[in-house]
Amino acid sequence: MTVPLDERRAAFVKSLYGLQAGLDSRNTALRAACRRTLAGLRRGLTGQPGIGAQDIVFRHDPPEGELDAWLLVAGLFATHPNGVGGRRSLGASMFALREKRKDSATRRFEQLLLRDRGGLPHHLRQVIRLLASDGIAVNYAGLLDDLVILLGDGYRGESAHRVRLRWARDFHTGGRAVSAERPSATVTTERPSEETP
Amino acid sequence: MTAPFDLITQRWIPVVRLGGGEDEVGLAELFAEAHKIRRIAGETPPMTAALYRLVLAFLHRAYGPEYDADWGDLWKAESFDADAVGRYVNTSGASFDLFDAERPFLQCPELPEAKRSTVAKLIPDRAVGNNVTLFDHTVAGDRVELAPSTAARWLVTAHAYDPGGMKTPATKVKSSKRAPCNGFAVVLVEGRTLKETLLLNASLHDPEDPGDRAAWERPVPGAEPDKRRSGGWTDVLTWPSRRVRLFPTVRAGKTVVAEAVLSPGTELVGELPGLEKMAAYRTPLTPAGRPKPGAPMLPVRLRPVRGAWRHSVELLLVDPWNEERTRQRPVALKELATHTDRGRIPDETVYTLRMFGQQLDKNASVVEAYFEEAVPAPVALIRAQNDTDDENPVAKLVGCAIELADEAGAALRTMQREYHKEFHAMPGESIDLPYWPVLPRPFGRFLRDLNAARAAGRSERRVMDEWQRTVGSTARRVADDWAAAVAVSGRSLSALGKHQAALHKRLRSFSARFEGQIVKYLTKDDAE
Repeated sequence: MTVPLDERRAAFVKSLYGLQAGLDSRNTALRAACRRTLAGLRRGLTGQPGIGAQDIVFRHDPPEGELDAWLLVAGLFATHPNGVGGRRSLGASMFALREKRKDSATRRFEQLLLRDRGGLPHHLRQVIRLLASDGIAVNYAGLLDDLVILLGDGYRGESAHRVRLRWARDFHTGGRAVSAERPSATVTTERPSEETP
Repeated sequence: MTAPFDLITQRWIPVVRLGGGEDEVGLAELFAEAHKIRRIAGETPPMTAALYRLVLAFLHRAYGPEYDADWGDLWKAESFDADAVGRYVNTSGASFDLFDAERPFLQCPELPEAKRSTVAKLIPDRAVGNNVTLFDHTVAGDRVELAPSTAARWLVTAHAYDPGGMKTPATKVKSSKRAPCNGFAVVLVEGRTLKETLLLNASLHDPEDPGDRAAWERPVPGAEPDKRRSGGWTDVLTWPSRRVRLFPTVRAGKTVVAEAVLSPGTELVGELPGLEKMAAYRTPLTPAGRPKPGAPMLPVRLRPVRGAWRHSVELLLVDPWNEERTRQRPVALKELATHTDRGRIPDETVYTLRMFGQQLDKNASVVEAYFEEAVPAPVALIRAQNDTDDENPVAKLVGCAIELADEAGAALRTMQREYHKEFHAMPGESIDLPYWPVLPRPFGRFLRDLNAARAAGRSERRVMDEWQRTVGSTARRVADDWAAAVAVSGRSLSALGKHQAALHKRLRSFSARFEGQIVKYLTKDDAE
């Protein structure tokens, strides 16, 4: 029986967060394996999905139309393996960045809102690096849901507009006021088993 | 030689039968068949209101009811006594012939024939005089010929709703005040049949009162305009605010009306709250929401977009402390409470409050809009009052519900205004347009559910929560749709997000205050 898409997405993000937990493991072999996998995922950002992608991404059977979003999220996570759960969007993370970097974060965020399907992955990588340098966590489950829309066929449609608008709202509130319409995508961190990856 | 047109027997009042079929009836048939007729339905809302008022005046003159017991007898009877119309016509001395040479119905035969012009002057949506060609595609050069039945309907409507401004003078005076019904929304309690509707809106009437007579029983007025006080309720209902004379002619063997004179008529002297029973009144409020001290009560009027339901507190609910001081309900609603108290109407009944209005331009000389709106009128709510306290808890709950919708509407406007201010831009189409028209139907459901909860002695908590959710989700959806329609750059999208976030914050704070307010007015039950 085919696993529902929501569950596949959640399992994928759970695997990523497992890598994050693995980095803190006292098991040196596990730590090294996690680092290797993350390096492989980072290589995916250059358009060459590495061995990590095979284990982490394709294992969860991503739909054809969502593959780009899954690979991008995996690569972004590998760049900045500091994920959180909850329902905050990328706008909330950028809100935290603005607290530290003021206007430059605002300009960066406004540019991010403007990017269409072609320019968004490149700009997102820069934004995630900035967030990484200031140690600001990202909700990758929410980001995956949003990128599926922003990189999908309806990237010019109303849903994409709503995603950007929600990011913009969160950018000004810090995600404290979560919209009721936001789909729930809570992911818990789970330590990977000794055998993985 | 033109044929007479007897308004008692000829068909001229448009009605909808209980089965849904449309028909025209004369006054005799209207009363004989009132229990089989759903409602009167004119070509425009003001015409419907004017015809109801005329029929109501006729009911008072032909049937009374003089005492409360008479009303009860009329209510209990399956139909009106059809012979009463004939008895009244024979004894009243009035003429109901539209083209009578000496007493044409609601007209003034003294108006000079030389002043006659197109009958289109009676019809506000025809291009003539101040009325410019708009959507109707008619021009002033068109020759308009009306069937006698149509002419009769527009004649009655003109007396109630003709705009002010310059009219054809009989001799010299040509300026006229707007006809009385332009000043307020005509409120009608609508029952299941026309018989019920007429009785629900009928007050007690003394047929022997020499002052309280309908216009058709009064002496034929002179051609010159005048002013006077009303002699009673039927006088107000048939107020001759214009001097009109129709000129019939024969065209292809049929009598038609192509020409008429419309001249200033009798001006009504007096304060509306003491005269007009089919209107609701309230003293204007200060920004803090309290009645403005010393200000007179003003009639509730219909406005575009926002809807009559926002006046539900003034229209429906009794407030023993403020009644007759800063608020006055339509008399029919007060009577309804009395009839329910006497066991004639069950508590769980829900009637419809139908409101008619007309909006004139700023010079009060051109019709800008017609309105017809309906609000559910649940009997238990209309009766609800707390004898031991100054405050009516139901009125407060409904008031809180309307206030919440008002605040959410204001928050939407603020969001739109602030966004445009940030970009030094002129606001486009008001965000009110997609917001207010969505709410009447949920509000109707809210009133009916509130009525059901009170009748069953249950807490109104669930009903209030549902309304709160509806208002919140409607406002958020309208804000989203508005944002989707605004052309965006990266900066403007960020600004949109900021103002939307502020809107959501305001909506949350309104909801919190709403919850705090309603707690003290909720009925306590096991769930509370």
